[in-house]
Amino acid sequence: MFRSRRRSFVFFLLPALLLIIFIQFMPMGYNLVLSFLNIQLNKPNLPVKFVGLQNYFSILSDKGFWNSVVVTLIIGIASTVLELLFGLILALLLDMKGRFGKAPGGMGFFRGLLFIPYMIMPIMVGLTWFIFADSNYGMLNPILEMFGLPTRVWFSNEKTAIWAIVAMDTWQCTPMVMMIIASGLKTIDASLYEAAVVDGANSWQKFSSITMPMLKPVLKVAVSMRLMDVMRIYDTIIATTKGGPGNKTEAISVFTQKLGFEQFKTSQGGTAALLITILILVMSQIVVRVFSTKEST
Amino acid sequence: MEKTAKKIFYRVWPYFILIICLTVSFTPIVWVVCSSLKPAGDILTIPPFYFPKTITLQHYYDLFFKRDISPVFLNSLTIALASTAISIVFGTLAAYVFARSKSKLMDGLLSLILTGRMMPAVALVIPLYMVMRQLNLVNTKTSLIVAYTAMSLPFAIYMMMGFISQIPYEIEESGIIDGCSPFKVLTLLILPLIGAGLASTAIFNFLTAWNEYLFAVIFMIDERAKTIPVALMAFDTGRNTYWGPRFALMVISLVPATIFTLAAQKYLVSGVTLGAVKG
Repeated sequence: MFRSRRRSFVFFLLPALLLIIFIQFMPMGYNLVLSFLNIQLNKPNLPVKFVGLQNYFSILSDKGFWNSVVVTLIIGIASTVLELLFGLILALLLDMKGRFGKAPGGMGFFRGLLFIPYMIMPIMVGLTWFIFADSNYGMLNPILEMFGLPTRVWFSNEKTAIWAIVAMDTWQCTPMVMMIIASGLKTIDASLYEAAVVDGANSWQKFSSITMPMLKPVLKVAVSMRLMDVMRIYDTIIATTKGGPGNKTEAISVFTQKLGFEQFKTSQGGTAALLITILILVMSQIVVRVFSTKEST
Repeated sequence: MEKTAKKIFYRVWPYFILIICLTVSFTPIVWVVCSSLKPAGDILTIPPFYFPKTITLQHYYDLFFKRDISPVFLNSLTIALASTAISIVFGTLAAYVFARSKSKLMDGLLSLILTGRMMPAVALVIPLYMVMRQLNLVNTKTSLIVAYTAMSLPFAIYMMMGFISQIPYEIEESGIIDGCSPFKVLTLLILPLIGAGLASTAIFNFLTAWNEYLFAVIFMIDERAKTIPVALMAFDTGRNTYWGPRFALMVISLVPATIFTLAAQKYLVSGVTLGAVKG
């Protein structure tokens, strides 16, 4: 009986495993092969030859490459920090049942509506904000003026473009962080708060001594998840600045795609692809080690 | 008098902040919806205005009858449904194995699969495009279905693992004692119990495929092979940008996101955060 069970298990596992190997791991191997050759998609008659580490040298000495790394890190860290901040505030607001003695109504309604931006097509998020924040035709600047806030040419201004991208990602992904933290809040035992109140704790002490420590594992998961996801940002940038002005918002995904499909330097694109994958994997290991207290599986 | 005002404030201020956040979230979206209903001359105006002065469905009509958006719509739908179905089936099968076997090999394999989730799409698209070209699969729905299924699998496996491990083993034991094959155990005993988990995983996988842009724009070059995100970007022809029909298409593409979120909100929360909260 055991043997047939194990055989079934192998069959169960096989389709998923094969697909993942074929679509996710095999291409990485292909990238590795590409990185040692001199393939260019727009020059199909170029004789293929082994070029050693030449591609690696040219990418690693390319200022554009390092610029894209910096841009991606800025976007990644800023977005994650903001999303954590706003997500925490929103989750706390949605969870305020203990304070007034009973759960205020309508919280589920708010939570549902607030979550919608996360499910929207990133291309659409980009296009929406691109036209909404347009300095000629968009409603954003008139609305800001109504409140006496500064207006800019958000996506074309060298100084603000990258923060516009950060703002878009924050707008879209804060709800996700909010959901994760909100669920974490639910698991905190209410009796802990009751005991604290008996001991004379005020709201701030309840928050700092009970809520925050109990939320640490959840916050760590949220941080690592968001950081990893935002490093791969692409659609919102392409829909708005396309990496501009200049290369101020050219994240690593945009840089690699341009290299491979606009300049058609296929082998170099493959090299860059490999390098950024290694970068993301290294970052994820750092994040896991710095933030995690237990393994995730 | 002051005391009652203070009392009201204390009860109401969370709603106040939530409403502000809701406004920030929805103002751009609602403006897009409004703009899609404005006649062409009213859309890009200086100065811009918010609510439509006259309402017209011209752009929606244009979209379906003049620009023939139906094939694009069908492409997106077919690809999303197919990749969701396949990834759920393969993913649940694999998740069952991972949930019910404990060995170093399995742990290693699982870590490998979950690492796959971190591969940036950009890194995969260059080699995959070369492969698809050699297999003559460029411009076919199959290429995207295969790609999206593989992209969704690590997530599907992770989610379904969480749900399956919540089912106590006793239920399976009774099935196995009665002589059920593992396949029967899975389909007859376990699946009915994790309906909510299946639903939320399916929704996320559907949206992953529906919303995806990079693979779609690289693999589908033909006009009639495009998916919705690609079509949205294609309204910018370099010489002209057709915002009217673009707004209409944006509104249409909002529909699945809104329906899924509102209808399945409870399941989504429990689904996504299951792994997160348990660590």
